[in-house]
Amino acid sequence: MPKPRSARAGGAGNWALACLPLVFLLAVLIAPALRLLAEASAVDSSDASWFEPVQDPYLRWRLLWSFLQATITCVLVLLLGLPIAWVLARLEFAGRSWLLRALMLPFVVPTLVAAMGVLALAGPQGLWQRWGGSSWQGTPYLLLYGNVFFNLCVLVRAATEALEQVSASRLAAARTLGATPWRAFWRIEWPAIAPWLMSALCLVFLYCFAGFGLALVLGGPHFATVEVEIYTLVAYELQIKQAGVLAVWTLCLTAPCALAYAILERRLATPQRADRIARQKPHSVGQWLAVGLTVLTLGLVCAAPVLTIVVRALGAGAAAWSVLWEADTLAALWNTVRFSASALLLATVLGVCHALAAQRWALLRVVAFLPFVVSPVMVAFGLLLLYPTWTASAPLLVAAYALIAYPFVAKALASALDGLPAHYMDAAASLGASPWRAFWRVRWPLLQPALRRGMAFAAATAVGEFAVTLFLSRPEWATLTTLIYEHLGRPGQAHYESALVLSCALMALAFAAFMLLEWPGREDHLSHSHHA
Amino acid sequence: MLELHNIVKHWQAPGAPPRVLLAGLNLQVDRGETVTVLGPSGSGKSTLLKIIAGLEAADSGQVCCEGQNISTMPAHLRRFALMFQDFALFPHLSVQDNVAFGLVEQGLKRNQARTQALGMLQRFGMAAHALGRVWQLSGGEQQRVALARALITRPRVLLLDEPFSTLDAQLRASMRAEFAQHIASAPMAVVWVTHDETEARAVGARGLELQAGVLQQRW
Repeated sequence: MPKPRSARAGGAGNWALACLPLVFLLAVLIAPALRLLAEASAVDSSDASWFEPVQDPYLRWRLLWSFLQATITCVLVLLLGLPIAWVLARLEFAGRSWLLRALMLPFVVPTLVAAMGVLALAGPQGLWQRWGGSSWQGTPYLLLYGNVFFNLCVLVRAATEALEQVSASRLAAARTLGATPWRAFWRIEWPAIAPWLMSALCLVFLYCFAGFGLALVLGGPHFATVEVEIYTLVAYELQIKQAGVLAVWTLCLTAPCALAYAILERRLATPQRADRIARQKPHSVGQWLAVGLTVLTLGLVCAAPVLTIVVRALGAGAAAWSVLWEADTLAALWNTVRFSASALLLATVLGVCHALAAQRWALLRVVAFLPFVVSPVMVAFGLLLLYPTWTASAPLLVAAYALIAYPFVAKALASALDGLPAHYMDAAASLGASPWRAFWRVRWPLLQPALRRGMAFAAATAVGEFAVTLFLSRPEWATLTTLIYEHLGRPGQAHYESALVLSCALMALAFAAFMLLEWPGREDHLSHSHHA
Repeated sequence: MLELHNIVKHWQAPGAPPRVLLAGLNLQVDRGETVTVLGPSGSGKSTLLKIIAGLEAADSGQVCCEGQNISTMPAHLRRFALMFQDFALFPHLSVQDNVAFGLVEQGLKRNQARTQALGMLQRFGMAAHALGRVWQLSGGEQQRVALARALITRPRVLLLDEPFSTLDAQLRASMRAEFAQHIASAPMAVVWVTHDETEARAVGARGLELQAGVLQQRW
């Protein structure tokens, strides 16, 4: 018996949907990466060799430190984040939902703003030094602090979600079979949450290893990462081949981690339906202490750098604030807005097509993570090599922005699609809706909250983009991020204060873009779908 | 009215060899007749309903309605209504818009569809909830809305997949009588799938059991 016609039409439609993101990835990511590989393969002994990064002590340290700082960050966020996640998942207390919302803060704060915050807090002339402590300048702690600021929330959010998926009846069964709370955690909860934690840690590792902005500003000459080295080799020393070799080494080191992440994400994509463990009000001194420590840790790690920027910018005086009305700043603001808006539009189209096509083809899900594997620096470097004549062209710059932003849209939508009960579409079809009508009247409205969330993250990412702009834009296309970096590179307190004020403006812009799309209080119908 | 001829369907669990779920199954249901299909979990009852509704394709065999072979006809053109175990009410729509959904798909103007939906909700004693959201309703109320939504388009065939499985015993008995009354008022063939024999005997003039992939007459 042949299949009903709608089922046969699905395959062709899926190809059409997948085509756009695949062609885009091929042109803006895969081809430039291959060009990079070709550049590295063309090395001869006179200018660079394949094994130079391990033979040369300087480059070896860069690679080793990149690996070390990413690993140390993973350990730190796991040790700090797991207890915090447990408190948020198991205890009910006033302000809990606010804390959960505040966990999105680091996702919205641009990298360069975070770097400025860490400097203003613990760098030279920072608050910490003013209060009698010593500056962390020249130590690895500045970069590690910046890394933890960004990544603690990644782990806490993943672990909280994982702990909420643990089956209450399985835990109760373990307890009635004689397991102590600790043994029950170890034998029931830990195996359930471990894949989620691993997935989050893979992402943290990738972010730290491939991070550029934080390492550039906070790493200093000794603790900068391999990404900064690639940038320096290309932009200042014109050692294109050596940079190519280093980029290939970086790709090889991050690829297994990215692959593990993609596999774990696919596994976790199956809709989970567990009888959740009810949250309890804290009833012992120990539990109240845990709540207090959670608030304190999140405050010190995530809120302090942001607040410090605001406090120091407010104390900078009128002269520093006048930077906001300078022609350069207004031009940079306009550039930031127009590049980000164009990139968001493109990223949304790409993300929607990708997520919808990935529902049928699991392999496409893995492909969506490619922009995470290849760092922005490498994307920009590859584009520079592959399209030398278009280097300073607006479409290429916007395409690079969109490449970095669109996985957020694709990922948010793919998760929402996973959580969408399949029989809604069946119900619509049995009520007379054609596949297109069923999509338009049922699936699309239910996906709106996830789409807005994905777009909000994509917008915040585009507004705060730094690495690609540094590589690919013209001097007259400076954005707020590059302008901050420019002020930071000039000597004198006045420039530093201008950078602080501009950081506040950039942060406000990123927040505005985020809030415009992800306005709190909008209804997420899918959260009710399991009750209906 | 509704006829199934030699329906065969295989099913394969990941990593397991395929097994025959429906093995040349035949069924005939007349207009105005309610047939109940009994069978344990995993026997293929829900798959059978999906094949009739056009949501899943059989490996071989024919689905016919009013003498026409509709095996390749897409689900939305069949004018059958399927009521799901967990109702599948759309959470982004109001109660009234859920009921009006099928009418809009038939080309009715939204306002007209809403008016008719309100009339249907009145018949089901649910008019007070028309503008409410479906997740605000109790299990029994959701059940009524799901049936109202299914019946409003005057389907040729009504398929019910364990409609009372999520309700408690007391509510189940009262809903059963209410459902039977509403269904009797519409001229359509009804296939009612359940694993509860008491329920099956109460609603079905004819009872069949799905055993080893074929239907056998129970009463």
